[in-house]
Amino acid sequence: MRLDPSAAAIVAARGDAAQLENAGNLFDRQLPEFFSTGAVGYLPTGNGLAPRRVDVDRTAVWNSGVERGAEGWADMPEEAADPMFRGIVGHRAIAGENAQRRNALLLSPVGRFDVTRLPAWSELSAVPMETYFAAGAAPGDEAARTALRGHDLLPNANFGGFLGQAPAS
Amino acid sequence: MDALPSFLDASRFTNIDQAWTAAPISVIRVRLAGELGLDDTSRERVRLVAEQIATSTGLEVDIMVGSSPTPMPIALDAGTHGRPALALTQSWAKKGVAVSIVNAVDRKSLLLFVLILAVCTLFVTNATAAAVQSRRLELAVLSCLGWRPAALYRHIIVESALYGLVASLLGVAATLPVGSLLGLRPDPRWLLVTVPVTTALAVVAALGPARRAARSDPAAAIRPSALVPRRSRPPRSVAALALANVTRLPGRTLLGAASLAIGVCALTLLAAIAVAFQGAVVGTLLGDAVSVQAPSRGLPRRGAHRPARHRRRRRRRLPQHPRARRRVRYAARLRLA
Repeated sequence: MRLDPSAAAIVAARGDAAQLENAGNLFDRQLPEFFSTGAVGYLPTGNGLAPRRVDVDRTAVWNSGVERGAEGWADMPEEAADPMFRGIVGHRAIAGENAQRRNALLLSPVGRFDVTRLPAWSELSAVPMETYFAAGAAPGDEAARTALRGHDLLPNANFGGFLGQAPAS
Repeated sequence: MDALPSFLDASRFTNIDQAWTAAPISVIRVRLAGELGLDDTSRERVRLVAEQIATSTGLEVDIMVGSSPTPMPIALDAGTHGRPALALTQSWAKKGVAVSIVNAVDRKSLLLFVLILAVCTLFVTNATAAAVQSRRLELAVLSCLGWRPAALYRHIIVESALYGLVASLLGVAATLPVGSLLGLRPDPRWLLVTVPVTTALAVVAALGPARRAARSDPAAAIRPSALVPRRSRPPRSVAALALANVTRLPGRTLLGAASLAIGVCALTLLAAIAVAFQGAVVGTLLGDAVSVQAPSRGLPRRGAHRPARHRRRRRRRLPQHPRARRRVRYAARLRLA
């Protein structure tokens, strides 16, 4: 039996940590919404697997009503137009009694998640779970190696993409 | 973890699944304390703990002891912004690899031991036969002095048994310092078992020569030690002479040929096993595997390699977002080195 390394449920929050750490006011530290993503389904191919595409209503997911001051509504990331292989559910903060003060969480950064600081287990018992390994996929042939310039394919802003948004740096 | 209820508060965020709220953790990884190997005792201990977790909590338990990262080919579709379709490789966990390999190595070790024992028997038989042959005069003299065939038989058997006993005791005494030099700690009980086994081996090897010694007669002293081939004409080439000499001592020739055949058989089997593992098992030495990396070797039947979660989700037609399911993956530290 083989286990998908991305089997663990993933919670991805919009916003980046650096921006959060430099947040000067409470509004910037609010968590207006977050997304939960599902696991990837697979179809067998000749010598391996192919992730199964999932239809995601991007408009419903990204129409969160997040305001960005004078810039207007938050845009859907460009990468979100890529094929999606995971279901996405958006969790938007429910407005409180006072519409100006959302019932949102205030985030307080306490540090960055670092997989290398987890208790080291034997390499021979290493289980490729994304909690312990930064998400990524190595090129499998020469064409992929050339296209990726020898690097691994890494997750991007497409939450529903093949590579999950693991809590790893 | 303290912040988790805030994220799962249905009054605070939309689309919060109640089941998810009840069981928000998807995977718990557990490691047993203490030293664990891949022996039967350790595996039974792991199995017992896994069963207790499953029984007491109702969680699904995957025993990950002995798992190994396995490369899985992934064919990824092209993106919409120019990224081409990519052939990728991801590391997936293949369960039970180390256990399978250790079992295979154990079987291989057993086969090796049997073959080594067979070769030793042949060598001891050959040596005993040579010793009896060289002592034909002595045996003939003993026969002239009135020794019965049974006495001659016992003489050779007891002599071989004593050789075996002394050799095994010396071997046991040498095993401990040599083993410590190599970092091995042989079980003393197994060492003691080798004493009677070696003695019995020497006795078995001496049965045939002892039977021949029992048939000693005084006339043997004046016969040549090897058969004189009856040739119609003298050999005229090196090959013919070699062939004639091979047939002079047919028993010893057969022993040598059998030893060589067993050695070749052992080497062939080892090579076949190494090829079957595609070089993944490297540096195995009588049971010590130094690598458990397993190559991807085709796919099992459809669905068999998918996580159980996927199969169940499809069966129940559940949505793709993370369900409130929990899984305990149990992993224990391997001691393969």
